[in-house]
Amino acid sequence: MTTVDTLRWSVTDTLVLAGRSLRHWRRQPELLLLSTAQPVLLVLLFSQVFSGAVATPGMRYVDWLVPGVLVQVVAWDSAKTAVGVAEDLASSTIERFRTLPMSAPAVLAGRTLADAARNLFVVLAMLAAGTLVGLRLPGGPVAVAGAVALTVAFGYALTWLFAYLGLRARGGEAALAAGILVVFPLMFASSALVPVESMPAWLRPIAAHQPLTAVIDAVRALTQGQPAAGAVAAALAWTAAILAVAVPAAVHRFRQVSV
Amino acid sequence: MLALLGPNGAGKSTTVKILTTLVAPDGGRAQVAGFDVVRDPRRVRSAIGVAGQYSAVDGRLTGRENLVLFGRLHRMSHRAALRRAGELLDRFGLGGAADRLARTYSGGMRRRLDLAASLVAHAPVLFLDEPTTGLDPLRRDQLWAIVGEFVAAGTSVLLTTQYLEEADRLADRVVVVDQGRVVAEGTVEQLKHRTGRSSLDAAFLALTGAAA
Repeated sequence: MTTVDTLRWSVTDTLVLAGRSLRHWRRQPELLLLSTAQPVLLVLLFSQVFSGAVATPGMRYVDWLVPGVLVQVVAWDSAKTAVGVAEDLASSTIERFRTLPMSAPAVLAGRTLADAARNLFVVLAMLAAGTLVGLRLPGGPVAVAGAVALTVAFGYALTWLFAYLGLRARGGEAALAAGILVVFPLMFASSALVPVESMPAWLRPIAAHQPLTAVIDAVRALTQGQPAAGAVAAALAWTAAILAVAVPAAVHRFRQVSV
Repeated sequence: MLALLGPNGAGKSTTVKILTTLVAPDGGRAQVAGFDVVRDPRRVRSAIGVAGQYSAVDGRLTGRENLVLFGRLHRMSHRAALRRAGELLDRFGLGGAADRLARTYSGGMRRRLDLAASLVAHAPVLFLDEPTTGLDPLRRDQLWAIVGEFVAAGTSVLLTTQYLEEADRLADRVVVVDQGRVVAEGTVEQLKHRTGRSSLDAAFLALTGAAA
């Protein structure tokens, strides 16, 4: 086979397997509904509970909060990829796939693609919920679309990272535990819920320079119509860097593991 | 059809894993359908169908979707995969349940679907790793009949089994392995003759030393 053929088949295999994951969700609409309801609830709750307690310079709290929760939720959801990959690996499904003349990385690429589609759905639902509690998007439709794309792209990069973790873990529960360990500090030691400036001095530099903060700041600037070029560049750099490390690592690990 | 017989832990499943490219051998060479399993795994995979001891059926897809998925991953067009899925579902008596989720299937139905999935691509070589474990005698009989049809149609089958009756009834040749080594090889009749036992059961026990 030529390189072009190989590439074409890898894409086809990826789409076929992404279709498999999407069918799974279609069969369990209650699962998709519940996993969308949770983030929506977070937006509604946080915007009411914290609005009086957190001072956000030059911005209403809801406008500050929603971009933060968007990125938090996408990071959290991408950790679930680790569980899915670990469970697939523990079942005989992947072993059976490996006896087929298919592209091996397509198993991972198909799942991460389907997870990105789900993330897009969740992000749009959260934005809609945000507008219910007074979120304004002065950035305009193009910048907001850019913010959504950036959030989903960052989530996509993270799913590859968690796919790698899932391949290293022994079983779904271990994968979830490891995923939480990585994702929780990133979610909360960030600019998602409170300004970094309000954190203790030792934590401030860490929180200010971690990837979630970079993406949150970019999404915030885009949706609020503030100058966003620097923040977007930093967010894209993180996304590209995570992809550059996690994709080869996950694919390599996938080829290694034999059940 | 070649049957691979041996007690638990004899190396049957490992042999199958090497031949189906799941595990690289520590040494030696193996060819399947004329292709080397280490140097040319993709060609080997194009030529084989595998039905496992544990059913790899996806319970969250329907029977038809499961078969179409395998067809697509075997590089068939969507239309060809759909047609082949329909043929196999009818042939395996799953036509009525084709559009139900596979998790609602009985054990026997899942096993038949699993076997059907291994046949989607018209593979010339079929690996059946203990395909009837856990099936009741009637279901086992049905599965044997279907496998027999494929053998008659020219498919080569490597069957691993602990049911000697299965090997006796289906296999042209039998290889007995024990502790990772081939301890006997030949037709069922030759093995019975060699050990002086009248049944394959007795011959098997004599060969693997379990009779002592």
